[in-house]
Amino acid sequence: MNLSKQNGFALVGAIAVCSILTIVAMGLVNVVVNEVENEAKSFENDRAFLAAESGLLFGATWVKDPSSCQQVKVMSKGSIIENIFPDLAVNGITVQVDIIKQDSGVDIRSTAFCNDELGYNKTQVWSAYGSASNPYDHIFNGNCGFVGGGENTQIYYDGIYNTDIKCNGNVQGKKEYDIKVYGNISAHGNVQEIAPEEGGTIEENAAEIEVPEFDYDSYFKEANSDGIVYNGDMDFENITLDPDNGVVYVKGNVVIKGNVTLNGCIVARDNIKIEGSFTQNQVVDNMPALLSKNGNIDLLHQGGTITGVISSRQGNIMVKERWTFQGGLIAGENVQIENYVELNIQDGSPIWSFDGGDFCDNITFERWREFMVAPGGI
Amino acid sequence: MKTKVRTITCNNKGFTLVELLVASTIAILCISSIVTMLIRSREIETGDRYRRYARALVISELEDSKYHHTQYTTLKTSVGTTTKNVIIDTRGNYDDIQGTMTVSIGAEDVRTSSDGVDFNFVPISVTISWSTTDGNDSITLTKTITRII
Repeated sequence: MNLSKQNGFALVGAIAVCSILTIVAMGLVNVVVNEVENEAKSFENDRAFLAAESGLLFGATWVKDPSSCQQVKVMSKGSIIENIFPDLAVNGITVQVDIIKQDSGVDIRSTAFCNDELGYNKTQVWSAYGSASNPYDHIFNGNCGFVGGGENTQIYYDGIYNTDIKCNGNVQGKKEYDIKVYGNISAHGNVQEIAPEEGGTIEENAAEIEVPEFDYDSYFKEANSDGIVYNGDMDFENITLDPDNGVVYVKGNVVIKGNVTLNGCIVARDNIKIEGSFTQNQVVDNMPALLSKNGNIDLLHQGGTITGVISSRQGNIMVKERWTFQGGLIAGENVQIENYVELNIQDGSPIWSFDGGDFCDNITFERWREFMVAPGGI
Repeated sequence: MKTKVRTITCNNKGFTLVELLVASTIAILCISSIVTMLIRSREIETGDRYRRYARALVISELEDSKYHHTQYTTLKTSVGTTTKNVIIDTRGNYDDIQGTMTVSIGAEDVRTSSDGVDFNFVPISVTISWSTTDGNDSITLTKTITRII
């Protein structure tokens, strides 16, 4: 059937054309409306962004306040103080500022809420995250600690241990040598040929211990600010290392040869080997002496006195010659002591403290603006 | 051959004048509406673009180092308003869309924390206003600065 032969075709055709044009027009209207909405939302985002940023500053200021800082200091990890500024509004937007305690320092979370202006019941959220760190919060008390660690502890020659010996494997001594332990001995496995002096106890099949972890990033930040950072393997020979804040950070292995004096501590990514004469002075209270993040610590040369904890979190500690330690020897794997060693820890209790250092005096905000979260991001 | 020509002529009667007038009127109305809408759409799009550019200028100003928290002491003694001209959109030699940026540093104020401690802050508002053939427009954004000890 040929429609053009029918009466009224012009009207039908006109209606069809009008319909198409109407659809096109509605599409255009929709595009324009969306554009207006998007512009309004973008403006809201900017308002919320600035409000959240302002709230972050309020949070940071609150954390640094002496009285607030004392509150934060005693919080346990993960606990939150919510909405520390109940009346805070910026750009006409309510801002909520929360404080979240972390292992070292705190996170500050500032969240700005607002409804968009077009009457839609949708919330725009900008969150600003800041981080205030306290690099000394994780440092052991230099006079606490223990000998041992994640696996076996072996003591082969004479020694005086004014501390506890504990590990997750076996504790092995040699009964023909004079090994005096003025603390307790406990092992997740067996205790062989070694016994504590009077008053001490032996415990076999003891509960596994948690080998403490250090916050190596904090030490790197400290070294990067006022200490010394080496970006690869280092052989120190006939040198005095005297960083302003006592922290030397080496991104690799460390070998000490000749005569080396260290005023502070060495934190190495890999192995630490002492083959020469090594003199160490603790310059900051509670600071450790030697930390290896991924490797072993070998003290091969006859030494003097080291003050502070020596920790090899992922590896072994070997002591081959005479040393005196004013601190603990803690390894993620084995501790092996092959010659006369004296550990002078007044308190024989195997305690360690994460409360070393003054929290309030050491708070820094250096990375605190890296954590802006866009709407929909939380 | 003659018969065929005659048949075609008889079937092609054409539109009546009324039909043509109605169709033309509807078409004119539709086309003029769409053209109007296109023009308006372009105006809105242009206005939105100016607002986007203006917002970028405001954010940029607020992020300037002179409004950093380390400058708090200076800011709190700088209460007042400063004005300067800004170019919102560059279109040609004499067709730039120009606006006025007004920075207002407010008087030091106080917010009290939930544990009862007062904390001072300084509010900073930046406004950009401009005029086009379509009318006047402006945007304002505010942030606050506190002092980290």
